Amino acid sequence: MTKQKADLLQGTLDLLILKALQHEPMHGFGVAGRIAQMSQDMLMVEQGSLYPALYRLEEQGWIKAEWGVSENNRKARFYSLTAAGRKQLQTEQDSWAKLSTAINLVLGNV
Amino acid sequence: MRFLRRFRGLFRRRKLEADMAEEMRVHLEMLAERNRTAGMSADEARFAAQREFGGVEQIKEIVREQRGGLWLAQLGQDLRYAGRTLRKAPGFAVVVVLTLALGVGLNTVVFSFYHLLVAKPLAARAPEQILRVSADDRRFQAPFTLDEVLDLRARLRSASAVVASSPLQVVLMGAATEDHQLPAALQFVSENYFPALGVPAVLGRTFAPGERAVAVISYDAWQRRFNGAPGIVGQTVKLRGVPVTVVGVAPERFGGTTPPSSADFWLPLDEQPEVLPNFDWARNRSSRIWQVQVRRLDGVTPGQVGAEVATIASSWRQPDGKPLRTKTEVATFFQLAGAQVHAVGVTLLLAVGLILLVGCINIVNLIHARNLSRSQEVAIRLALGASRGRLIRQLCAESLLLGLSGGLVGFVIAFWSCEAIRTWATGLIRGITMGTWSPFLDLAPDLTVFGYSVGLALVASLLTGLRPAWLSASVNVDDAIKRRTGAPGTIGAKAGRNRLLAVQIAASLLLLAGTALLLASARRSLTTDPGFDSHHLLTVVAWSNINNNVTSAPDQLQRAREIEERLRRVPGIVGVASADRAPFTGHTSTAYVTDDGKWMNGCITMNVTGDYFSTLGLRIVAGRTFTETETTDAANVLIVSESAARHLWPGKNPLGRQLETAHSERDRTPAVRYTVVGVVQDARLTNLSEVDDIDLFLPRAATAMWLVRTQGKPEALIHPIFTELGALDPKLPSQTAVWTLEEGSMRVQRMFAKVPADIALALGGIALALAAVGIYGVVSFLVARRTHEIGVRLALGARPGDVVALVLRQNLRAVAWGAGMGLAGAAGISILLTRLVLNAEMPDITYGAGAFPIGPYAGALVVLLAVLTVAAWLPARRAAKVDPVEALRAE
Repeated sequence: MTKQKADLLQGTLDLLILKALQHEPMHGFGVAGRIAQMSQDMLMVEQGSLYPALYRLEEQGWIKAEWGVSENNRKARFYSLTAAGRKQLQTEQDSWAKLSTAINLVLGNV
Repeated sequence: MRFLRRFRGLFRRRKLEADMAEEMRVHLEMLAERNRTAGMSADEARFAAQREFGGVEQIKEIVREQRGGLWLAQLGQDLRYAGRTLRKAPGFAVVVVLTLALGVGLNTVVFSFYHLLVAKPLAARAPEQILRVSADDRRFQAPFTLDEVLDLRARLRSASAVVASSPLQVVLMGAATEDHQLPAALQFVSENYFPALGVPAVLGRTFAPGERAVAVISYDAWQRRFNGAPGIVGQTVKLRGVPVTVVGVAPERFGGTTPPSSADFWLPLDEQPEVLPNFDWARNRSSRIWQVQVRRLDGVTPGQVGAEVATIASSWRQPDGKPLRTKTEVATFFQLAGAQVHAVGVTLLLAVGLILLVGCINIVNLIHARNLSRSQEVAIRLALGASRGRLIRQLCAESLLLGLSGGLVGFVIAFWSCEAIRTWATGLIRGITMGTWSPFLDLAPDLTVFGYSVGLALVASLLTGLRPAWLSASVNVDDAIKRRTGAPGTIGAKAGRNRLLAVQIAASLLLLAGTALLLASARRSLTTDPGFDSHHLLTVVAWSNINNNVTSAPDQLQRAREIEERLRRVPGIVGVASADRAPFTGHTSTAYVTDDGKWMNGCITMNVTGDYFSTLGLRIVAGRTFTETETTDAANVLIVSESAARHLWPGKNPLGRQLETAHSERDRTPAVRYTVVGVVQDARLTNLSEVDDIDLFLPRAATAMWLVRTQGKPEALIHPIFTELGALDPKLPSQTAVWTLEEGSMRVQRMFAKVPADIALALGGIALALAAVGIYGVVSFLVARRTHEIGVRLALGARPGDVVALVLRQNLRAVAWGAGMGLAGAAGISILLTRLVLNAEMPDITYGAGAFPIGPYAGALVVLLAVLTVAAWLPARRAAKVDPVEALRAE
């Protein structure tokens, strides 16, 4: 939860959140759950990083938030991708692909 | 766009807070629900959810912080919070603000003077365009002849105007009645003077082209002599008997272009032969007296103007055939920027800077102690989710608020002090010079001075606030909450405090050493013997007969002879001599060439009668004094002082040798050769602090000033002199000033030593008091923190004396370090100042004490150590009185 750690994770976490929101609007709890599910519980997002990231992405205009009603009839804040967010997701996916290929090449894992 | 969004964000804060709170509450509920589904009890599920989620408030704070525009809102918040907490500790706030105000105020006063001397622009329109041009004679900057001024005006293309102004000349001014004539200072200026400088009249107008017999009065003279009556415009005044119409009043802040003296009246240059017929400034085109300012055109650099001036000046023929070098620089109020001015200015700034430093260290200790008592509050806020950065900012906001308040109060104090000093100095100088000299000191603070005050206060507040805030915020949350006395960084803080104490002691010692040095000088100035008996001398000045030119009108000579005869008749007067200057009232120095071909600058030349030496009590050591005929004929003979003889003809008999005026090659002035007829003993006639280098005396009768030797107390004869002069002419007493040499010019000389000593005493005293408060505070603090330990020691049998010694020992090292650094610093500064200041150009205000006087420095050290011991002993004694039982129970 220290600042340094958050900074290191920042880029990746943003990508994961955008990806989780790709198909449908979701609340914060749902985003965390989706990321865990998609990564087969290998990536656990701490709430301490999740909410700052969500508010940051909203500030940047990549996602937008609306109050809605959850599956359990709870009032919840739903996040969805904006047009700019979709474009950003694409960009980040591409650069992540490049980065991971490059790192794999370096490590000789290909 | 981004900025706009952030800005809007400021106003959406409330919505954000609500959103965040609700959203996280929902998240927690969802987590709890999941846990319940997994089989936990309701309570268990809720606690597990909270553990998993982490600190809600911490997360909120991170979100808040990453919203960029928020810092502004936070700053406002922090300042408001600081204001509230400070209101709860008014004693603390007042002490800090006053300490800062004192420091900033002192610094601002000194800076105001320094700024005035070095950089303050003329109170004119677009002052940066006004350049001062001078003939550069390496040693001093000489003015121009009228021919040169006119040539410059005709040919200079890069300037829109060339203005000329004469030196000030004191004449008698009479308003309606002839009887009440007072001295007034005149200055002759080119008729474009006011419009070209961009100085409009506040009342009436300035000169019209070709106008004669008119004058512009200074604001100060208008207030002082005419009580600010609006009827002054159009009024006729008589200047030296010549009627002149006042056409306007100059602005209050305009003091002319020859500071520090302001003219009372400005007259058109062409008027000079009328008002001062004995001078030939306007007619004789070779008198080098006109000071020149030019206003450069837009888009022309000062360098370009300087180059054009130099080109034009190179065509002017010089008497000695050498080219005339010129210097062109941006005109400032004083046009002083020599190394000596900077050296004195920077030394004074350092001195008052040290006081601010000593005060700041006290504030650091105060803030630190205060923060320590707030460590629990700080810990709770950390626990509740405040980040350390935010806490440091918040604690600094408090310092910022204190600093700004201190700065503003300090600025107001400085403003008043400057005004008071100005009034005091102006009145003093006017009194001593019998109203002939009106000094003009424009000490009104401008933006630069204000910026300096505020900047200094900000730096001081950051310096004082940052460290305590840092120490305070690095508290260990757990420890601080559990143990009420949790001390953040106690060990480091203690070492830091001792270092600060050492700095305080060093700074105080530095100031005290300077004070001791100057006090010793002031004491020496009281006992310095000028080389003659100065206690039985009077100076008599007849304003009505004033005229510095010795070849004056016959009626003035006649009147002077009558006055002298009357003076001789007063019982109790044993000697009367006329002289163009009384001792210690400034001097004229001239260059001469000896018959060996040696060129000698800086010869102090005085016009005296043959009785001068016997009246003053100066011994003729060889040759003779002037005869009466020599004086009446203004014969070309001279008497030299012993040291003058040594300088001019080393190892040879000066009698019969000859001197020639150095500017004899000048076309219109015939060469003058003087033959030495006598040698007089050395004396201090220019500066009381040192024997004159080269004194030359010429046999000329001055017409307005006499030196009178009395048998008894000189004061007793002032009244009889007035009576005697009244018998000669009833108007004469009102136009004559009589004062004793001791109370007149010698008092001024002693003030040169006394005023710096008084200032230093005040500064040294303040520094010492602040340092004493500092060590008192630190020792009290340590005693308070070690009460428990002291209790144990006493319970185990330590005697009170041991406890006092224990507490005092804690600071021994700091005191030793401080004293060492202080003495080293004092020595360094002394050496620097000796190099820069104490040379032939300036009077030696240390009266020969030199660079590192052991006596005064040792005295300063003793005083400092004594005060510090008392300051530390008071709280230490309190420690020894601790009741062991109470102390142990207190924990």
